[in-house]
Amino acid sequence: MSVLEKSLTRKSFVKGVAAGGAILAGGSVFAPTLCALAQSDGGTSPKSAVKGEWRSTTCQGCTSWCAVQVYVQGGRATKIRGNPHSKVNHGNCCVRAHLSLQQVYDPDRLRMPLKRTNPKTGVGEDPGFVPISWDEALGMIADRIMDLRNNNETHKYMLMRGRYTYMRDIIYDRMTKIIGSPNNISHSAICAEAEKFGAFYTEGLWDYRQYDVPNTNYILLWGADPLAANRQVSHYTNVWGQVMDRATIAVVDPRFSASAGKADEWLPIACGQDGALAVAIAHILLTEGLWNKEFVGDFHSDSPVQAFTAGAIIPEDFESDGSTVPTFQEKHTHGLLKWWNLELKDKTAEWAAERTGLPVEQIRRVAVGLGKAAPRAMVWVGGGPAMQVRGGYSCMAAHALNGLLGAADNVGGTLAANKVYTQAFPAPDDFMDAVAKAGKAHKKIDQRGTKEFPAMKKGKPGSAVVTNNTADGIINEDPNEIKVAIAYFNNFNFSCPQTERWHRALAKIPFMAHLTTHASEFTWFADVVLPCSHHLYEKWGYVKSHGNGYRHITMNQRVIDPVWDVKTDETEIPWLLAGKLAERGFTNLLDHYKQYKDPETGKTPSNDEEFALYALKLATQPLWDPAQHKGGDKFNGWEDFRRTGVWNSDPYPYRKRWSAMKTKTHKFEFYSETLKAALTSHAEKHATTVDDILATTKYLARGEQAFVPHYEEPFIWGDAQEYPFIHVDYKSRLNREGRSANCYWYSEFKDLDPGDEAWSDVAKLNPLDGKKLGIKNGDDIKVISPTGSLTCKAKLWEGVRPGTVAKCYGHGHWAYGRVAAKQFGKTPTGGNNNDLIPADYERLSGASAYYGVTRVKVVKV
Amino acid sequence: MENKHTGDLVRANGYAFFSACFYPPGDSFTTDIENAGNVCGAMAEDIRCLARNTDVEDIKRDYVRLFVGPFKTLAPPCGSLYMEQDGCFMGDSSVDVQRWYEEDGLTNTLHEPPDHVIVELEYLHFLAGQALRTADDGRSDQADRYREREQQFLSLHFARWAMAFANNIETNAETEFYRCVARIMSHFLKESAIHLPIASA
Repeated sequence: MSVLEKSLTRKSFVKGVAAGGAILAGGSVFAPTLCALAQSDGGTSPKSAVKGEWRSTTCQGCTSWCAVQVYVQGGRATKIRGNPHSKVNHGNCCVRAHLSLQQVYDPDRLRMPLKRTNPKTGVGEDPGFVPISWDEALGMIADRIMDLRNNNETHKYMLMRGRYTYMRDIIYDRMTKIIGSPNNISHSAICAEAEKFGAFYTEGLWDYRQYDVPNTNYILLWGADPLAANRQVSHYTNVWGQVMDRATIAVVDPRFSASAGKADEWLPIACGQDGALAVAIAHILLTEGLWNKEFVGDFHSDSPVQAFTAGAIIPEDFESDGSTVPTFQEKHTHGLLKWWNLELKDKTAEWAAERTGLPVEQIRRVAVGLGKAAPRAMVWVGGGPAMQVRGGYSCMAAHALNGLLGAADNVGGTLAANKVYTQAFPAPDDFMDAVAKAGKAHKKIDQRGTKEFPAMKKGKPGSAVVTNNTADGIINEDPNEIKVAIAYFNNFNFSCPQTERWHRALAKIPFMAHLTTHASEFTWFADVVLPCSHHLYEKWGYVKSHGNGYRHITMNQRVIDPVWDVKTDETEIPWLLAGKLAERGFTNLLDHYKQYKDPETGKTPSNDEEFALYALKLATQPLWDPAQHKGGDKFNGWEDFRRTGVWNSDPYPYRKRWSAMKTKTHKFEFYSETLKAALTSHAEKHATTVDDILATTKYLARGEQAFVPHYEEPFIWGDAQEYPFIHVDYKSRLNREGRSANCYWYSEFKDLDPGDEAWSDVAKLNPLDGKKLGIKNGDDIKVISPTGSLTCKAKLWEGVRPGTVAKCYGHGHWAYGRVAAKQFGKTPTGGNNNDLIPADYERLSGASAYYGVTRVKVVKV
Repeated sequence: MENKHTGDLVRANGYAFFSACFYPPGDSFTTDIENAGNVCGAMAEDIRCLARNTDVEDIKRDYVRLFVGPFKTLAPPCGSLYMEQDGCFMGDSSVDVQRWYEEDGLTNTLHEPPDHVIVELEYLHFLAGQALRTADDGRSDQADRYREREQQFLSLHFARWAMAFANNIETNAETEFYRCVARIMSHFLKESAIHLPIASA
């Protein structure tokens, strides 16, 4: 029973106490009256006597999504380790997993539903939360949804999704559709979505990659830091020693990252110049004859041109015995000569050195090293080159190198995700009434697919979310106002660039419910707050992750009985809300959820906990049910799977996608017919030209150049005179989806991030710059951009490229808890990078730009 | 015997009353406090009076600020938050408290840790109440054992953090209601410690 419900039934306790006193006066025996405590039934062993055991679950501290195990003793979680059954992280887990122990038992954790009493919302407005029961909280939400339905305004309902499991469709898709809104808004565009752009418009892969490091001889890490942050940190950290023994490792990053510390070369590239380096490496691979012939092909033996020469255009075909023959016979690629002619021919190492600030010899050395190691060489493209205003093409150029190297889908190269066999939840269509269908037909609040935001996921304009632009949609009521919002596992007014827009947007929404484990800046604006189960310890769900040549499905499991009366965001809360809607006459959602029957017994769920479990069993049935087995690990049944905690796929089928890629030509496209089709489609939809689209989306390319990976001069906010530095953001090895800041260990061990300091939040400057500004270590400084500022401490460090200011993301919470906020509600500990970064986008993918976005200045305070 | 009896009764009723004071205030809060304090005589009078005369919404808001947060909890209501390094919930001390309950055949059913102020005070009520009951039943040895347990539990657990807890309330509370609860509870605990009758004494 919840604490509040106990208080409501306290009458019995209180009566007992009073009665006890009264009885005593009459001479009878006093009996203590219990309310919170109860007599044990004697049947079960006391909790503290039960032997401890390891229980399987999943860590979602980052999107490595490792299978882990928790040691539970006396009902308490005490230790974490990797789940030895996973073939992806194979028993390893990284440092951030352990911080979760300080999260689940965080004194500032949300423990009961709350209701706002202050009618005003804003940064300076304390919400004045009071406790309410689950019943009242859910009733409040249901009332407002019913208001929208009764007024045919269901499109004014919005669901914001932060971190999820694959139970997500229950709340994100089904509930939103059955209520009748188009506005399910995910966080993907503030994640690393632009990174998928490069892989899709070359090899048809809209996904993150896994990297065959044990079999490679050269790794070029590009704006990626796998030893600290994403993806599959546990695995890569574990094998990196062996990798260093056999492979050369080079790192492209304006700052010296954790991975750079375990590499052979560091290329401290000038911000935003990634495209220049990429096209120069491509030029060198071709002019040196180091492209992989097996994958790419070669010049026709009769062709008069037999080599790539700097500056020389190569005709795409030639005459031979009266017929026209391609000069270059491509095997598994398409458009190589077009790419050379349109973009690469003049992009020498010297040209790139001028822009990147890297030595010519280093550029050549890395290019030749890659080429000689090919095909067992890879270019590992992270968020760095991608999440920039003009990052789409830089990311594409860096990833295209994998095509030249023959590394795509090859041994020692970059791989896709292995096939898995989960199944979808029942479809919502039959439960969408006329009101819902009409509501859903409205345009989305994030403005994806408008001329300015092509947001082209998998080649389809208007299909990718533009998360951060949602704030502007809400503020401007464009396409419409939002009246009721539910948000879960997110903190958009901290995690999105130019946070103050979100403060304004959230203040505008008349009713918002936040579903979360820990209250944060977003919660500060909520009308109702619902305490949620922690994904690692208290939630049923599953996620998929790939690495080490495998993909695993790992389950989030309830390994401890939650101490507090928490509910699961994606399953239990929607069920309970469906019940409230049904009480108010709208039964469609509950009727839909009742379809999620237990695959073992056929039983219909009768409460929220059953629903959560049956949904998980249903989605994963092909994995654990011997009768439905399709591949990968085999189990005897649900309980066998549950105890193991993780299912592994079959091993990786190398080269299966060669000439079977999901591009227009089915080849690895150096000239992207796929991107051409997508851009043309978007242009036609807006009755304009591709050139106009590129101008609108802040790109410089025109004509055919738009369809090849090419160099774009970076778009960076701020005048260079007034703002002499470029801001470098990066992620910590201790960030748990940005919410570790209230764990003591986060601050105590912060110097695990190279150049950072324990118990402090520092912005790092190169000592040369520090000297010019008269700034010393530990000085209080203000970092100012054209759109915002933050205050923190200064650190002088050689691992920072001169002309840049590098600061880690994670600190700067003003409303989070006893450790995270310096003076709660007023002064954050350190500063939030998103207070500096303007709201700008890589518009072709819809992703927010975080890197190389803005110039800054630094002053002492 | 009469002194021990009275002392047990006063402590049992007092612990129960203060436990009641730390429940999240519902709309019947005023009545709950009135009734709970009924058997505590003058000790509870100021608190009951404040419960009658303070807007229950103000009390609710103050409750959340002090004991729930949800951003920064100003008067954390559990023992482990005071007694252990890094002060998280469910520390080793919390597990020890759970063991105490189990030894008396009790289990915590509140959706809070076993060392939450509500539960520890109720447990102390139970121990004092059991001393009273067994004494009245003629089992004075058993009564003394319960009183010893009560004293040990106080010295190992509740009394080790209750004053710091009360101090946090007095410093941070916005309502006189909770300030008064903290003050009077501190006084009550000090008095009880002096007067707790132990067999060896």
